[in-house]
Amino acid sequence: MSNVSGAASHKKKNGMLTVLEDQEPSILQWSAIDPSVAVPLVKIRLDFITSLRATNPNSNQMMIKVLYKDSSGADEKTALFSFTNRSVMDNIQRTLQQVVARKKASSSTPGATTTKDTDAASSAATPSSQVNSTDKEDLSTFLDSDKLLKDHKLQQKLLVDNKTLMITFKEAVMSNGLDPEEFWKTRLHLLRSYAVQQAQKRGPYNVLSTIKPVASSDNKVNVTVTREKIQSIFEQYPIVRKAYDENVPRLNEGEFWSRFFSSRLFRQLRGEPTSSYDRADVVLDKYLYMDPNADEHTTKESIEHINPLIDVQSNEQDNSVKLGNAPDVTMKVNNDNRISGIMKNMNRLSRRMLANIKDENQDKTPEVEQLEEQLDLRDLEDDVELEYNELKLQNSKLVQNKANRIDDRISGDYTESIKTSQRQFHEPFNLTDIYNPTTQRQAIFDVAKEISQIVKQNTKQYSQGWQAANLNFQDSKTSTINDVGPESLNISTDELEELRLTHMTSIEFLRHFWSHLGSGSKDKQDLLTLKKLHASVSKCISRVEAVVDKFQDSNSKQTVHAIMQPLVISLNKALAEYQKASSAMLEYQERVHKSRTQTPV
Amino acid sequence: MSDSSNLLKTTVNDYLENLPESVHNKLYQSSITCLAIFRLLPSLAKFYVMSLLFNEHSVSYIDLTRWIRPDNMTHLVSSSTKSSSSSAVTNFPGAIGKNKMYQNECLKRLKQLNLIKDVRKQWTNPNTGQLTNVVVLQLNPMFRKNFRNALTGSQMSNDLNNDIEMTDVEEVSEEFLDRYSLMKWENILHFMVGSEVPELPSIGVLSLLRHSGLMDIGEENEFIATPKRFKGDNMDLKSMKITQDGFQFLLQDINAQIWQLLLQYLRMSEKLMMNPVDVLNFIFMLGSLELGKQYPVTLLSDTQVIMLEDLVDYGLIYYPEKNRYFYPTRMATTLTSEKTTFKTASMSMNQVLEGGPEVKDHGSIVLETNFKLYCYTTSPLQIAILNLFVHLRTRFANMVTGMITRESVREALRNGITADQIIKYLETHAHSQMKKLAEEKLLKKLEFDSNATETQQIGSQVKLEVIPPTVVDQIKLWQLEMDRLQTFAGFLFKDFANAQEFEQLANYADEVGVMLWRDDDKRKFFVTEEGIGQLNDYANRLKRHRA
Amino acid sequence: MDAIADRAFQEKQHNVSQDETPSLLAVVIDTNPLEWTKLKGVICLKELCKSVLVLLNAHLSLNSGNRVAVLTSSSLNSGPKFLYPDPNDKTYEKRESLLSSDIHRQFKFVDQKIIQELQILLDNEPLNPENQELKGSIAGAMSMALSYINRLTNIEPESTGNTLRAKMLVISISDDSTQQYVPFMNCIFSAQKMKVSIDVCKMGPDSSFLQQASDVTNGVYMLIKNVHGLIQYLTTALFIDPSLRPIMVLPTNSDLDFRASCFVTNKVIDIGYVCSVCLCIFSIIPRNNVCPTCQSKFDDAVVKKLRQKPIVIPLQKKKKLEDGVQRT
Repeated sequence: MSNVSGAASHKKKNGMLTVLEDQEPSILQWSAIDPSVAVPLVKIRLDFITSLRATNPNSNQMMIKVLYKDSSGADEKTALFSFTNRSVMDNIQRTLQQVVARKKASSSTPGATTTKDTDAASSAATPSSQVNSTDKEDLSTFLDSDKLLKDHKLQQKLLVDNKTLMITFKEAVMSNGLDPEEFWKTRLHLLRSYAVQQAQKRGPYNVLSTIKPVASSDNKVNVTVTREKIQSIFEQYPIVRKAYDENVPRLNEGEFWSRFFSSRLFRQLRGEPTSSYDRADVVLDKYLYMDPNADEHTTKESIEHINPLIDVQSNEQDNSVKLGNAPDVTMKVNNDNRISGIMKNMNRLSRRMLANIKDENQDKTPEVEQLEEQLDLRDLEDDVELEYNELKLQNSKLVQNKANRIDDRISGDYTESIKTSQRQFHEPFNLTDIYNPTTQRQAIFDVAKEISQIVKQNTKQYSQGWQAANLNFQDSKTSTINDVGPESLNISTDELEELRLTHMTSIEFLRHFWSHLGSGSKDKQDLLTLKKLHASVSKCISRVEAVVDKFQDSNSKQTVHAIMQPLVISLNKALAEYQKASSAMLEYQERVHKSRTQTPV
Repeated sequence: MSDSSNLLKTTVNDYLENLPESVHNKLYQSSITCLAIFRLLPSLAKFYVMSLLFNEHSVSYIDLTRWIRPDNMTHLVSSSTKSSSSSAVTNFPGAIGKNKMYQNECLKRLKQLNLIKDVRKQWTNPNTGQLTNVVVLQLNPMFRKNFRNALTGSQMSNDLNNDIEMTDVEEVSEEFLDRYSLMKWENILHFMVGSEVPELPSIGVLSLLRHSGLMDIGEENEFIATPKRFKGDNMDLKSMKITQDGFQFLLQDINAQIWQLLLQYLRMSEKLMMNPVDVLNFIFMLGSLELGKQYPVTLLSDTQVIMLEDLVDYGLIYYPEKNRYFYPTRMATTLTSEKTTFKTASMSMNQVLEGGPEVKDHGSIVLETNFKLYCYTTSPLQIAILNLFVHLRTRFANMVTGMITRESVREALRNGITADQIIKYLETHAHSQMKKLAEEKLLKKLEFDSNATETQQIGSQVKLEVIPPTVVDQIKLWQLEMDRLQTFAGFLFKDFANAQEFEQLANYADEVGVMLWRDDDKRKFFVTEEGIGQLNDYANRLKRHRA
Repeated sequence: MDAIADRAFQEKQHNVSQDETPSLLAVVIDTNPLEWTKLKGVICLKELCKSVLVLLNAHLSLNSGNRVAVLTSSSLNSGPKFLYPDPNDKTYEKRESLLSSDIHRQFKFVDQKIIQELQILLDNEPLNPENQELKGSIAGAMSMALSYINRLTNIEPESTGNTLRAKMLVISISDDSTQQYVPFMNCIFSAQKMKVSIDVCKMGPDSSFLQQASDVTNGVYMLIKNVHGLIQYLTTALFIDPSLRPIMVLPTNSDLDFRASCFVTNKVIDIGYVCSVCLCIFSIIPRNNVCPTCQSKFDDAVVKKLRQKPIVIPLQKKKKLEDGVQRT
């Protein structure tokens, strides 16, 4: 990896600040331009850096303050570097941040640079060529529950991301003594999905297209470049690497990069048409004319060479009958043709990018796989047991239903009534009968009153605010279900939060309790856990009671009591179950004891 | 959108509501009229009427209003004041929810139509023995009787259908009637647009057009110096020009157009001493007749016979032999239908005119986001109407294409057509494919945005957008462009003696809120018309103080 | 395509007062002859029919685009049947459009057709019910109605461009049949999906299935107490148009208990067992390890494990020790 450096001044003396990571131990080094200064060289070990502070991007000053421990590991010293060039400062700052973060976080394999690095500074996760070795490891990590349970870092991260989970964790584990392993055992699915989420990688892409020079206000053009980007540029465009290797000892790095980004080479590599108006950079443009394929050793292997006489596929594409004798525009020998140049560039780039991805199945081409399949001796394999759930469907017609059968008792009634109906339907219909006779009139009036009554009742439910329908009417963007409570309950939000917290914790304990009780395991450890949970559940009850007591004297006592009542019932039920099981066990033990002590006659 | 049918409803309703009670009661004697008027009511009003229909006792006002859900007032509070700890109900003075407003509107309309009467009764509370005033509502007994009869199928007195005899006169086919009515109707419309007409509409129609404000006698004609010419001459009528209202009229759909003319006819007929009850009854009855059947003239009253001849001019009636039989056309039978069923009718009419096979999307418009428009039509009338606001470019065998441009829309706006009308026209005539696409998009939006619910009370932002929103917005923007000047009527104050006077008056005007413009350097300011009174009072008070 | 930026103009919100979409009313009448026999003296089918006809006429009078459909649920002779519209009549639709303007004739047409069909139905019923089985069920009729509604509201509007809303009214006189639970629930969930509200006019015993149906679909459940005032129930409480539903208070008088109850014992339970195939709830493990609803066999090993009594470390009576430590 190349070193990042930039011009900085330390203690009012100008100099160069470099991050030397290649060296062992890696250091941050500042060397003064003028060697006759009091402190010409400052070396700070990167391991010893505790924190980094930089000035606000908006402020005029550009300074980085590095706090580090001395070699003895005792004091905390500070070193202040001020910059003149913001991009240089940003660059160095970012590098340092990454370094610090990497040192702090647990690094997995020395090669993997980006896989588990969730550092915020390196926002764009750029492709790394050493992905392959860590791939398999990650997959198995995700699926193995034990590994997930042990991965505390992952758990911590998940908690930080998920607030509600954090609250539950705090209350249950830290305040009330729930075993953290218990907590996570029921949340393996969360861990798993989170781990997979974190390990998402981005595929390779053309880095140059992401680098966009931004015109800043004072006629300068700023370019944001991270180390990863530089690395990937080198990978994808070896010609840049070549240029860098040849030029950087001479020029300094910052200068190299600034010249590169404003040169024609950059534009050409990006695929933009170069016109004579662009500034030509003397140094870098030499490379324009170099053969870009000089470095390509990978491509030659993958391209098979077929004799053009028998190459059917290429003959199909180069159809002289249709297209004429002149070769296709891409095949013409024409060096500065823009179109074909761009096409060739892009193709080369894609080829290179794809070559960088190592696929585990890459060795096996589809044909080889097929062949292998054919060779498999399937007869030797075990029979696969089909596992299925049998669904029994009923044809309702076939099912005899007693209720549908006609009893003898009502048979007579039935005949009579059917005859009456038949007769009635042959008589004329007078629809005014439904409202004309007096009985109907009175009845209608009564019914109207009845309906009115029901409407009255139902309206009250609407205005009480407890109806689920009413909840839908609230604009869910600005208020949540949580807001329904306080207004109609006369309880403040804080108090409600407290109740909610207690509730959540108790539910958590209950969950673990029941899953253990129902598991039926005879393992001593499990039983002990169960007992502990039982104790926790009783503690829950006392906690709930304590919270409810707080409201003893307020006028919302009734409502609070009503709210917590279901929770109390379920807690008591859990205790009762345990009690029942416990007394059953005692009885059983006594019986066994009795039968043992009874001497057989 | 049912905006034009709402427009129609409001105009018809306005007319009906302004009739006196006696007329209403006479109207309600015909069950067909009862039904027709019932259909014109808003949904909630219909519900109220139904609930009172069979219940012969009167119902208290509270009982009826309880049906409506109490509004959730939180959505009326502006978002800036919303915070999770504030109370849910904010009763700022005079706050009335949408539901309540709708309810009040319905009750008001029912009262104006004299369907409901409210009576104050004194009621003794059985528990407390107190006397309280209770408002109860009663349904108009005449309406009740006849509507119930309609529903129960008894006593169809006014129905002509009972007395149809098959005579030896040949029945006229539906296609013929359609073609006939369409010809007459389009004649009128073509005349309005200004295209060539084979035969000018009759004098009665022309004067109706003039009186309704849809067309006007142009001013140019006055300058033609002919001594014998005076206003109202028949020659003038024949050379009328279309007005702003006329343009708007053209963009409405047929049902609304016919009703507008009929209402105008109603108003004119009152002046001619024709019995409005008869006229209205006849119109509503027309809506209930069957297409293609002939009806003997003998059953109509005298007024209605006169009407017959007039209505022939509009294409509503086919009256070949005077004083024997008449045939209602499709335009007549669909008078009282709702808009949706009518669209199919008008489409079938269009199809008849072309004589082609039934193309379901005939006359429909496809509009792209790049403002290009394609309309499947061959009717010269529709093309002429489109030409009002679309720059038509090409005409094919079954289609015309064009673009909605700034110029074309401005031309339309200058003629008095509003952007809303253009948009409504486009929406009503939108191709079914566009509607389908819009519905799919809406479904996707609703699925994606799980926070949006169906109820309208939240004011959900998602709604069916048939016409691309870009086009809609742009047309509205073009309309705004036209309104670059905003005028206010008011009073300008200037020439103050000293700065102090100016300051006093100007500040007062500011405080009261009537100030429109002020210039401190020149010591002038401008107040609204309404504000002049206040300002004068204040100035007089000041004078008295000083004096 | 999605909008690039916010709309320049806010569109007016959709107003209930402007909603004029026509609606389809599907009425399902429970014609179980056995149940009607039980109701002798309370109400007869003819009376119900009269009220229903007036209701239909009222519905048609609301809007010229409104339509109706009537189905019967069961009889000894045949299963669910369409009374109106006649499924064999292909010219039906043309006739409907003709009649929509002439309200009286439309009423007459509909009324007469229904009476006619009911007549035929009754006439075909055997007088001697020996060894006859009842065919058809409410769930079956509801499914037929829902399919008809689906055709009219989803499939047809695509070709004609006329939107239609729908609601269903179920007039039931029988008790719940546990056999019909699954098909019935399927019906109401599809009604929920199609946004069809199910109103229930219940005479006779209360039914929790129908209560659930109206609850899930935002409908009204009405238990008829005063049979002579039936028309008032039908034209008020059970008459709310789909467009009005969002703003009106629904006079539903159901007392649904939403708590879970065991399928076998019918007790309300809070802890129990669930069948993984049909999701029905038990408070006890059924005999034979077979689920009573779906007849699927439970895995023996799992059942054995479940039947085991839970094993715990027993709590002994706390003996007051000086150090307060509880002995295990």
